[in-house]
Amino acid sequence: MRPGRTVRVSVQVFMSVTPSLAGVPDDRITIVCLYCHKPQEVGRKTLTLTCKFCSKPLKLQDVRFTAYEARRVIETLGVVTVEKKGNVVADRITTGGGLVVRGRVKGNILSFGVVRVGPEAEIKGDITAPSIAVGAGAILEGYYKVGPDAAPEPAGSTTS
Amino acid sequence: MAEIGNQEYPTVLGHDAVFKGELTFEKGLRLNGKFEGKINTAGRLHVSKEAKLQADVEAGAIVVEGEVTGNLVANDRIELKQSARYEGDLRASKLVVDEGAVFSGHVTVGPEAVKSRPAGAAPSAGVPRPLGQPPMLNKP
Repeated sequence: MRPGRTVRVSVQVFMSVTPSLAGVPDDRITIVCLYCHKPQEVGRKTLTLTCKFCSKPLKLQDVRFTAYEARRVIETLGVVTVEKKGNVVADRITTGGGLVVRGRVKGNILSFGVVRVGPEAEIKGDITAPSIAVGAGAILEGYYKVGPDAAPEPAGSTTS
Repeated sequence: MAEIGNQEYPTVLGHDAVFKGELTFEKGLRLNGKFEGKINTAGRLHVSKEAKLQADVEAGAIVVEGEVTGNLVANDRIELKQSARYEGDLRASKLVVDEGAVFSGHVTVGPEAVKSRPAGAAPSAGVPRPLGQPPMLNKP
């Protein structure tokens, strides 16, 4: 007799949750490959994966720089943030989630998300992005291609 | 509100106006129509949403809401609003870009960007790009 009540309660909870799960499951997100631009579903907690279409390695985590750092390439599907004291030197920065710059960046930037440049930022390098927001006071130098059509076509045969 | 606008921009080129040539003014120009040529001023230039500007501009401050092709130089600041469509090289002490603005070209922004330019030089340092031609790309 006692377990009867418990069962009834759990059934009610399950039924109220089910309709919201009808579409994309909560623990899955859709990502777009940086190289072939093809979408695929992955677990929300995934940190790295190999694209199932072009077999390229992809990182999903956000990257944050708070000090000087020199790298050849920075690539992630997450958001790249360069904080006030951050100073990033890289040949290429490719980000899927966007870029936030409050410090200094030297290198060419390709972003598939919005690039936000703070008023104290300094960027030397070319920028390709669908959208950019710049605060008054930023120091900029480079070739900029900004707009919804700015992103390059998928380079299927490109090797890095 | 209209009075404030008039004080800031005493010169207005109307919606149905088309101007070709060289223009200089002191305070400010609000461009609502079409302009082709060259603008030289220490004042402000406001290119409104419906305006089309195809010119090399040297001004104190430039606000772009409409469509602009050409090289821009501002001693103070350039503002690209959300609706701005800009193609050309820009040089200014300060740049403000609203999310949604579309533009391509070389950008040189900073306190030294305008100072380092030799006095009386063409708006774009180096070889000036003819109007109507896309800017040179660094990379393929």
